[in-house]
Amino acid sequence: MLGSEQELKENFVKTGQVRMLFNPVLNHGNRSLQTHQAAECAAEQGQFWAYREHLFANQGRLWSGDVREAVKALAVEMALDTASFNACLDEQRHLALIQGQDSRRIQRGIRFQPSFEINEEFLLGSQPYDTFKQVIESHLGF
Amino acid sequence: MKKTSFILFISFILLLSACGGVAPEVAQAPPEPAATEVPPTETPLPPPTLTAIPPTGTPTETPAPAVEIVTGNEDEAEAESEVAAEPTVLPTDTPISPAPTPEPPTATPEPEVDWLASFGRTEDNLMYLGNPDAPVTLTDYSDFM
Repeated sequence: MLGSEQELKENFVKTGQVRMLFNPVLNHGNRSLQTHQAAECAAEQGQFWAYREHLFANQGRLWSGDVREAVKALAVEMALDTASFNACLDEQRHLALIQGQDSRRIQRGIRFQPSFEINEEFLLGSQPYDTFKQVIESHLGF
Repeated sequence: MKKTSFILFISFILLLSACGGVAPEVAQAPPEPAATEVPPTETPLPPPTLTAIPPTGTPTETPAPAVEIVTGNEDEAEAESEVAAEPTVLPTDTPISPAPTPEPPTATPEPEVDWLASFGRTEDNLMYLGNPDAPVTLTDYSDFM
């Protein structure tokens, strides 16, 4: 979705026609746990969506080296309150939350990632903008 | 002496009578015309003119204009005419300016909401972005890795 997300936000989310939800998928062990917890720690400072975007844009850095240091460095780049962010991450405040959300995903049988659910209609895998647009507009009655 | 006085008196009387005999011409006023009865003519009074009252320091009472009641309800008509009959006191120490002409109504567009600035959590504690009442919900199931 990364490629089409900006267009979707601009054309459908910004106009109030679409609400975007994010459900974590924990498919890569500790790296997934650290990155999704980091996003929740950014959410404490009202920066979930901006931090999520920053994570997607820097996926290469998350694979190399210490992932905890990588997500902390990204928080610094976004000028977050690093003391609060690091404490949140160290205390694993949101570990149970993200694990519970991932468990519900599995219970619903959503195992392919990325998956996109548009009013209970699923798109599996990355899709071009036009595919999203077509499905969204069908639900909007266009 | 008495005889002299008597003569003088007589001569005075005679003189007086002599003067009365020739009537002097006196300018007489022209005779007044006989009073004739003029039939009354009805001349219409000029209509009352409204004059602007200059502002003064004291309030001025202006009579309320007559109100024609067109409704059939007499009670309401009476009530309205009573209200209308009350004199209105205009504060005249403030300059009377013509009533502002109302501007034609213009359709003011509602400010557009940037839903990208709206975020929160759903009942399932998932983060959402955008209009919470949007007709379409797009859920992204993704890993950052």
